[in-house]
Amino acid sequence: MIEVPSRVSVRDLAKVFQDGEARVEAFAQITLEARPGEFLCLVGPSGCGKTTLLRCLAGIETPSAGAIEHRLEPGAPGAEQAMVFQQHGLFPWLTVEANLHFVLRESPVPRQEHDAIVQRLLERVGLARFRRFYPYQLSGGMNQRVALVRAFCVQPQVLLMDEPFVFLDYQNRIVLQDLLLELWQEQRQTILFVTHNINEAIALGDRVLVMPGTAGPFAREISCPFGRPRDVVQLRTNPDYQRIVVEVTQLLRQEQEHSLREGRIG
Amino acid sequence: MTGARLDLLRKAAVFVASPLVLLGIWELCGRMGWVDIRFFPLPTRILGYLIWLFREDNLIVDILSSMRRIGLGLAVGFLPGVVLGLAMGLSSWARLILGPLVALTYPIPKIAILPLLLIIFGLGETSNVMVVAIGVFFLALINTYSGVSQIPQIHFDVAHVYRVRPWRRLTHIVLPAAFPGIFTGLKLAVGYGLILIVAAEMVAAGSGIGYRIWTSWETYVIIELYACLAVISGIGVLLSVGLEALERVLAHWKGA
Repeated sequence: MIEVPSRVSVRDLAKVFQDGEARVEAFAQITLEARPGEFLCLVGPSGCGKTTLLRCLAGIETPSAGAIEHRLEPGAPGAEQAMVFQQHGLFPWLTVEANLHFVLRESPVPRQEHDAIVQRLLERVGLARFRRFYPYQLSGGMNQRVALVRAFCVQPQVLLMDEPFVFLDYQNRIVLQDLLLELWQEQRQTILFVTHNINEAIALGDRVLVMPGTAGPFAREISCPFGRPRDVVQLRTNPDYQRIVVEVTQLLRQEQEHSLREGRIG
Repeated sequence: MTGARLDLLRKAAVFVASPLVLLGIWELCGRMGWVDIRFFPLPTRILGYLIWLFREDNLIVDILSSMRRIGLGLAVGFLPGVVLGLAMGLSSWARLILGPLVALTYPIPKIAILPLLLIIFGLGETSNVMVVAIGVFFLALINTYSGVSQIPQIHFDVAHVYRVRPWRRLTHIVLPAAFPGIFTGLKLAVGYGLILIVAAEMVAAGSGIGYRIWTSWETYVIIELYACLAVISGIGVLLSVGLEALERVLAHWKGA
């Protein structure tokens, strides 16, 4: 295999929240590499700092120690990064298409392509008919689809996803997972996808990193060798898939017990 | 007709009927001699007098001069209040610096500043306008600040991730997100402006609704006092209905 330099490289990252006397360690000694075009999932027990790690990568939070390096492809047309959140985070005063145009305007994507991109992506997720609608007029699943489109329309080199489907019902989650994989297959950016849903992580990712319950380096790395394109539902009948789900679940259980013993998580 | 429309119609009917019934009882009490009509003139007589005031006594001129003062006061005081409210909502330094100043000056009844304004600006329009301006300034500031502090963190996260530039962040995210709060400030400011201007005109103006109330008291024309109160009530209702309608148009995206 050819050695490709990683797209995102994180070394010995730590984040400590200090509030007066109280000192809360979100995570410590996190090291990870994400290759160009890789779909990397991070799972971990609740409270292990998954979300905080992603917010550090996005630059929303500043890490307390360690280094984050984005080795971006020079001359790539799109944005450096984009992020999808647990909540859709659309601006309620803007229509669906205005929400997309708003972030496109801030991105390096050439102006003359904006209309076509918005049109094409909305059609792709079946929302072209709703482009003049406001978020309050759409269902939660539809809004999250728009949020997904918003991230892809700026053609990011790195896409950060923080449990983006956690508030969706089962049906919608499957629909959104399919759409995510389709859109990613076209653009092939590096995705860092945080979730506590083991099935989701294994069905979507190329690799799954299990975050430790207590501060420390990644507990384990598991690869998901299922080829692409994948059918996230069909995959469930695959014995390898089932084996890996059990394996990761065991790992997470150990981490959870470990962190309970350390008294770290409420 | 659908049930919902019928329901709306019924509510509208009650809305109109409720004050009419009260006025009817008042009228009855007056006619039966149960209340002293020197102090509580008959509503029908007040209405007649009100019509006469409009027709023969240029009441509209006083209404317009009161409205003009409120308008100018809003123009002078509201915008600075919004600007400082935005600053306080967005910057912890501005909160630190302005917080104690606002806490100290806000509780002062603004009408209590009027004598000072009269000394500074003299007896005239400026003093009247300034007392309204100072009053609405605080309402703009406090409600804008509260509107900005209630903006969900996710809007700022999105702005950060998608590299929205600071100026556009202010004009295209903070302002629309804080708009409901700012508009609440405007509704309160208009009502408060009406209170302040009537009070100020009683002592510091030669025209306006407040001025009329004061001259009616001085000449003991009780029925004109009632007519003026009816006018103020009418103005208040019209302004509030108008602003509610405007809010429904401007903040339709709230979906309420």
